[in-house]
Amino acid sequence: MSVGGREKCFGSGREGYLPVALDTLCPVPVLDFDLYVPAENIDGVVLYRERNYPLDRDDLQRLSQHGMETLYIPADSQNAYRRYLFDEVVKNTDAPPLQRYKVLTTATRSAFTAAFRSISPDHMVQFADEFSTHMTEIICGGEISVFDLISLMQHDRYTYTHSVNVCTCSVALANVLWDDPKADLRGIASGAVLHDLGKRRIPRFLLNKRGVLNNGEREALRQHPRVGFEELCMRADVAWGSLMTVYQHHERIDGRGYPARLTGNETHEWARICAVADVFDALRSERPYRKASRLQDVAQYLEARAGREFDREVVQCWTSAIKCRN
Amino acid sequence: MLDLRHQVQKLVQAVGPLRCDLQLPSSWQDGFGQAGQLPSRYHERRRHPRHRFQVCAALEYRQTFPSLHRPSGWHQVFADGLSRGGLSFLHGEQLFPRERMRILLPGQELKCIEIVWSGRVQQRCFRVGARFVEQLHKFGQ
Repeated sequence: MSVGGREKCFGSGREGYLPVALDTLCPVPVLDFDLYVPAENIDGVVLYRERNYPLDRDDLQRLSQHGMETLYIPADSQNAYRRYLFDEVVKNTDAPPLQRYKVLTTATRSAFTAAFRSISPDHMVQFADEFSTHMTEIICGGEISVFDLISLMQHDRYTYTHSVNVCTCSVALANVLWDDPKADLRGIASGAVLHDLGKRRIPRFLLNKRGVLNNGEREALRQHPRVGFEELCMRADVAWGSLMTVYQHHERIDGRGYPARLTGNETHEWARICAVADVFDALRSERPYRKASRLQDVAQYLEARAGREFDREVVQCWTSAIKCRN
Repeated sequence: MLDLRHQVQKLVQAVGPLRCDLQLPSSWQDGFGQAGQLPSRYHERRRHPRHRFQVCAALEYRQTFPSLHRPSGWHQVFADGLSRGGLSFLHGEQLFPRERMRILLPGQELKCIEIVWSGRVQQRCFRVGARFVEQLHKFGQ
């Protein structure tokens, strides 16, 4: 099979190469890294396009027609590839918003993981700031529906995926709810990315426990909003609303939440939005102790608790948005 | 309640006018001034025993966090329990962990405290737990 380009065979396996999804690529006059396609019949790769050469729309179309979903880059070109993704796709307002969203949410995984593991919260705050800028730009561009975003969301047990999904839902929700171009969507996005920061200090076995938590374990788990808040509260570069999102996203309208058992509007509006987004994504994802729920079941769950656990207006806005396909 | 009024007068003499937003729970209306040791709850880790210590106190606000505006001033609060390491009190407003303030208890010196937890009891009433610390945060002095 030939997909064009100058072919050169490297048949000694794919060690030293990283897979990249075809749909993360877009046309560029000069590629900054070598691009490989899987070799036929052998477990190797074939050079498709050398660095410093262009990658155009026809190339991408041809690759797609040949069913090439995954291409390869040399492992040492990882940084060049990430730069390319941000410069040519994420920041490119001419690129399709769904592609920009997909690239943003796949290309930032390792940066998030490194920042989340870092002892100081500096890296997480910096990550949240940059990520929020791109996320709000993409979602508020106006050509992407909530339904599309939900269909693109991945669900797994990783904090990164959950944080990205909660951020996506919070921004999409606030964008519909407020309908105000001056609204601080970046702030709400940043708070959503940081909302589970305190879980860094919770033992992993507790987060992944299959059985019922005992009182002590439940109490330990319930410390994460306070712990996250305490890590960030002395910083001038985190907005108060974002801090409240971290601290109050488990508060409930009826006062049965934690850590402060606030009721009604005593909870910050951003935290009330994040609470809905958080539960929405948690129910859509499989957990060690239960299976993922269907979209309509999650909508029903939220509607049944609107006004009691969750802000009624926020729930109504979100359930209407997720049911709307346009 | 005569004792309470007397305590407030003493505090006002010491620090000036006190703002009070607190709505005291009905259980407190009759039982003010109780004493005795307080039991710990199952998840609490305490270094020192805690005693019931129901007195009126003055809490001084200063700037605590960079992103939270706290106008300076004195507030009337009701101390609830006291130990060597800290105290709990009732206040009309939510306070946040790591906020540092100063508190004046009857017959004692002005003390610096750091908020550890704060939970809603009822409307305009939060129970706050704090530990004694050496000093305020540097921008709060």
